[in-house]
Formats: sequence, structure tokens, C-alpha cells
Amino acid sequence: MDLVSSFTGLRLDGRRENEIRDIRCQFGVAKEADGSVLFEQGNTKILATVYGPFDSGDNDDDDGDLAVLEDPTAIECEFKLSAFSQQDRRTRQGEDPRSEEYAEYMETCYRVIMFPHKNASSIVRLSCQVLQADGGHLAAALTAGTLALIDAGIPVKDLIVGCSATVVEGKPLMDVSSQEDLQRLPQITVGVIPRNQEIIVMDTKNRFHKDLLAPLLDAAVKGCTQTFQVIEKIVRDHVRKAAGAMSS
Amino acid sequence: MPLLKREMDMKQEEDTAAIREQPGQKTSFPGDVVFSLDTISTRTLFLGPGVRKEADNLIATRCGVLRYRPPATFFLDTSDDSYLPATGDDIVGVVVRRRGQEVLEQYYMVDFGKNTSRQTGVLPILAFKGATKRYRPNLKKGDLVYCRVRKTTVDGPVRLTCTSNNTKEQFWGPLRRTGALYRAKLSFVRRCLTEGSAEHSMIMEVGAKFPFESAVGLNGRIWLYTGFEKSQNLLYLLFRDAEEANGDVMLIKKITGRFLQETATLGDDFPVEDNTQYWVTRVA
Repeated sequence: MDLVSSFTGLRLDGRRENEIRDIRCQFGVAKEADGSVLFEQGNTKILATVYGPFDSGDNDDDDGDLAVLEDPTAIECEFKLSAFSQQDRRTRQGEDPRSEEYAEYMETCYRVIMFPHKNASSIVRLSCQVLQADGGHLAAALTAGTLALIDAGIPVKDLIVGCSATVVEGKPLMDVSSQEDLQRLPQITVGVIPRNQEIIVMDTKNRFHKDLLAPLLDAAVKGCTQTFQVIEKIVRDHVRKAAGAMSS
Repeated sequence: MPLLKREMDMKQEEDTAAIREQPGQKTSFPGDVVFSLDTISTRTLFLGPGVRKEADNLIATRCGVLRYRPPATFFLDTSDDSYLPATGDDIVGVVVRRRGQEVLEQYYMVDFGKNTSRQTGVLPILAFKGATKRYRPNLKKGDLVYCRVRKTTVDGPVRLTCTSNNTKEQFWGPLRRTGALYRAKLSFVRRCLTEGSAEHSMIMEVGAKFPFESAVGLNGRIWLYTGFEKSQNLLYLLFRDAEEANGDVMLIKKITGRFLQETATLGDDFPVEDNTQYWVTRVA
């Protein structure tokens, strides 16, 4: 089956090449967490929870060590792919290298937008649990994580939004779904600050020619801008509701 | 001199006008420019939580509504519910553990976070009124303590104390274990402590007719104590209902009336046993 129909020009899930999937999110789902969001992008569903900020414990033992030179950690991320999230139920033994890599990407991203030096020795724990996997996990996790940070009221400079892109027969496709993901096509995921289009992280998957990089990046960044417009509207509506409760 | 003052007043009025012109009630979003500083003449700014200055703009770092107090105080009013310690806040904390080697250098780790054991401060073991090396409160893990934030620093622990140089009264100290701890929203707690609010007058009205002890911590914890089982439960429910009323004056009055009626008609109440000795004398 063709990923892009030669007849209609539509993808398998009925989108055009430059369309992202529907985004829905729900704030404050986990009551125990300081901030949480249930983020859905198409059929990909992620639960992001934020705990903290709390004491990182660096200053606990007064052994006279100077921890000043070290860079403050600010955030610890965790990316988990649930056993039930994919088509086949699989429980992994040991640690998953991909998840760890994703967690590291998230940490790099959020450290850029947070203020690590303003609250040294305090730490924020962010965990992204994939409940339904339908492609674009890293991209969705990056977006969901930012929203959870906002929900927790942690000061951030700006937002980070993720988007993935792939290329089929020379045509770049935005926001990869799992059907496209399975084809071992060139794929790229970026984490972008959409306001100034600054790329913070980039993850590539499968081999591809360097000439494809420019159109892929272009598509991914455009996808980020689209995602940003959607989540901006969602968050503003959410805040407006909360602000109504605030004044009363 | 008067002329200068008038000029300054005029300038301030202009500033206020300029600020009014900018969208005030707009909700902002991290990264938004919430306010442009080239429209006002004052150069000294007081920035509260949620805003930061970059070049000539104020930029939001959280979601919320920009609030302005003349002449140049800006902060972002947010609906989120996490407590940030500030010097002078009275809080209700839970003792987590005791640390340190020498008796004089020992301190209690006290948790005062909105959720349990995420935010801790240090309370020196002798930072109680009248405490000496031999006669001092002996707090165990899980004990409640009403204390004041003495100092907060960027990279150190939050320092707490139960003493004060300014007042002779002794509010702070260990709280009875048999009291009830109610966890409220921060906004509710702040309203409880604001004179003139419905919640504050509720506490005053109830307190005039019905004896009870309470400690309202700005970290969203309210400790309640009557010494009797039924009435303490009723008191707890009163606070819960008052929080649900969400500042509705009429509703709170109604709840207060009902509470007073219920306590008046209360049958035999069981005293809550509390034999804990917090202050102990140690022989060397």
C-alpha cells in the first residue's frame, strides 16, 4: 500500500503532506503530581507528570565540598514506553537505550528554557509515560513535557514544541504516524522554540542522503509552528478559565 | 517643592494611564511580552513572580494575569497552588527527621510543601522560645510545628524559627498531635488571614462563641484543635465547606450559623487523649 495515494494525494490516515494530527490535552489529570497533562496527538497518547521543584539533596551533607562549579541539574526526565502501548504487548527486560536517549534529549531541551542557576540545588522531576504509541513519541513527549511544566507553574522562558517529519518519494511529510514510522524511511524529529524557530535538539532515524536534510528540517520546523499555534490556543483557553476562578 | 511633587504626581498619573492602555486582563503565556517598558517613565522596577525583564520588555515566565501596583510593581497572578517560602511567612510544618551531631548544632528537618516531603527547611533544635540545652521541645518524626520562615536563600536550605525578637507573645511551637490537619488551597489560606474577608470573619465569629485552637499556615495547612472528638470533626467540616464556598459571603455565613447551631446542640463529646510531653527536661 502506498503511504501517499497517487490518486488523491492523501496519506493513509487521510491527512495531507503538510498537516499535523489533531491535538487534545487535559490538564491536572494526576492529582498527586504538582503538574500533569494528558496529551494526545492523533492516536499517540502521553501522560506527562511533573514533581517538584524540591531539594536535590546536594547540600545535605556538610562535608565542605564546593558544588559551585558544577552546573545545576534543574531537571530530571524520564521517558517510558508502556508495555501495553504498542500493537504487540512487550515487556522489556533491563533498560531501554532508546528511552534513555529520549530522556536525555528532553533534559537538554528543558534546561535551555528553565532557569537552572536561579534555583541551584533544587530539582524538578518530569516523567513522560506513553500510553498509546502511534508514532512521533519524542515529538509528542517534548510538547507534553512543556505543557506539564507550565501546569506545575515552573518558570520557563519559552515553550518547546516537538515535531517529526519523514520523506516519501521526495515529498516531505509532517508529523509521522506509526504506519509511516514502520517503513524505515528517513525520519527526523526536532525540538524547537517556535517563537524564534530555534532548534534545540534534533534526532535522526534511519540513513538518508544529506540533500534530504534541508526539506526534512523545513517540514519539521513548519510542523512545530503549526503545533505551537494549536497548543497556544488550548493553553490560553485553559488559563482564561483558571483566571476566571481566580478573580471570584 | 510643591511644584516638583505635582510634576511627579502628573508623571505617575501618565504612567498609570499608559499601563491602563496596555491590555491588563489579558492572560499571558510563557514567553509573551506582557508589558512594554518604553511607555512608562520610572526606571526602578519591582518585579514579582512570573515576570522577567529582557531589554525594554517584561516577559512572562508562567501562565497568568499581569497585575500592576503603582508606581512600578509588576507580578503575574497565577492560579497554581504550589507554595514558595518567603521570609516572614508563618507555616505549619511536619518534622521529618533530626540531624546534626552536637546537641547545640542539631536541627529538625521540617517539611512544609504542598505535597508531602518535597520541600523542607531546617529548624534549629533550640530555636524555641525559652529553650535551653537541658529544657527544650523533643519533637519526633511526624510531629507538627508552627513556625516562621526566617530566611530563604538561593542555594541554601530554608531557615525556620519559632522565636521572634519583635513580639513577646508566643504563637510558634509544637502543635498537639491530636489536632486535625486540614490541607487547603493557598488562596483559601490567604483569605483566612486577610482581615475583612468572609473567611476571616467566619473564624472570628466562631471563635467568639466556641473555643478552639487553630494555626493557619501560609503553606496551605490549617491545624485545628478543640480537645473533643465530635466538635473537632465538625470544625474540620466547617473549614472544608468554607473552602468549597469559594469566597461566597452569604454561603459562608450560612455555614457558620449551621456550625454554631450544631455545636450548641451537641450531646456528650469524648475528650481526645493527649499525653505527649513536648517540652522535656534532660539531666545532662
